[in-house]
Amino acid sequence: MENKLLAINIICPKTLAESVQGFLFEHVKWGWEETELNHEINFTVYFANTVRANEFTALIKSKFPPLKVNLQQEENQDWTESWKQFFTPIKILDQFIILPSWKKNNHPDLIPIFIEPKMAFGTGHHATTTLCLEAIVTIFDQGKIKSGQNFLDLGTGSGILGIACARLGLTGIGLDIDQVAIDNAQENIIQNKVEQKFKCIPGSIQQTNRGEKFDLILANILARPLINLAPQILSHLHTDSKLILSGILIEQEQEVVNAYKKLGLPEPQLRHKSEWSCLIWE
Amino acid sequence: MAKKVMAKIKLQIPAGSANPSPPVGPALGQHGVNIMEFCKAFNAKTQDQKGMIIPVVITVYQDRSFTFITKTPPASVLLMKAAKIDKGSCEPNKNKVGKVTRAQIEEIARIKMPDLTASNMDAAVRTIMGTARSMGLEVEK
Repeated sequence: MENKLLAINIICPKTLAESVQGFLFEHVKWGWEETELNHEINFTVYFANTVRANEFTALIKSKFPPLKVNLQQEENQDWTESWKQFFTPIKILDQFIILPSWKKNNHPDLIPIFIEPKMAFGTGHHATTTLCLEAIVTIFDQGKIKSGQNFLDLGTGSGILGIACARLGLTGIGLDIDQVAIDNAQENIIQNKVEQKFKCIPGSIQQTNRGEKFDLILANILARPLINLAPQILSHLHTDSKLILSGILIEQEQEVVNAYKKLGLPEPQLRHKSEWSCLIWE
Repeated sequence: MAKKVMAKIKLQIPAGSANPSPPVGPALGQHGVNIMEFCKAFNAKTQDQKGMIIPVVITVYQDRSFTFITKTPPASVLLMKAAKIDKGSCEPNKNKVGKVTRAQIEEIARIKMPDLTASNMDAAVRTIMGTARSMGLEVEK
């Protein structure tokens, strides 16, 4: 692998963009990046070889004399590995540590949750996920949910919340309308060895058996679906169930609270992190 | 899934053969996107279009999960390829720079159909003919 990478930036007015694209289609078979600026588009083409980069620069300048073309040197990297630096371990109170699948757990006092960061939401690096995990740990520590109880994880994504519950000894199911999420959740379930306690099924809340009750329902989705699904979610709670709702912007919080209060729930506990709110009925 | 967009990245890359080298690596790596996962999913989705360069828009969310949508190549690019020209005409009414056949126009309309607002194939063909004329291409019957 060459150590240096040459990035050629071609700044082009939008009116000329299709002609430049046509040129790139002919001469840059490995592809390029396009970034929209105000009235222009920046096409970035990468070369590992200086001679070829200079030839290309000369060619595009001769074909499109008015364009601004500049050459920039960048460090080349092992791109299959470099993205991993963003996935640092995340500690959840004194209970869990969220780790990407390639990291070792150096905290024997904490329960590790290994997540393969893929397309599904729930890598652990988002406030809505950590809010939910903190809520689970808190109500577990208070004895309000217990090992052996059952749960429903609605919009499971990577399966991270369900895996946390399973690691605490609860048994449950995860639902997601996105098959990509279900595949990622299955992978994470196996990685965390909780196959016996947590199963994921494609679909929404309609997949659950009518009348089936859960000791804990978790839903980290968005405010609008949480409001729309309120009657169905409540139909799966018994008088002592706990409910954790997340994925709600603070500005949307009251609307969601009102939707659930209207159906008979009391005022929830609120937890906030950056612009996000988590509602907890314990 | 509570999602908030952190970045949108547009790439034009070969169908069915994306790999971690540039432009994919630098563009996605700096946002912490799982590059191999993207390449695998993109290649699976575009394997039937090998030989084409496909525009793809990748949306990266705050927790570095992502989604992507592929688009069809610009009509002008497909027309230039069909007419074997590098550039459209600066004066399309006066200066014709090449020819395309009706069959080529129909094929391009079929490829572009998912990204067009045209309600049917006839409307899509008319749209592509309009683009061809605006580039200074003659349409042969």
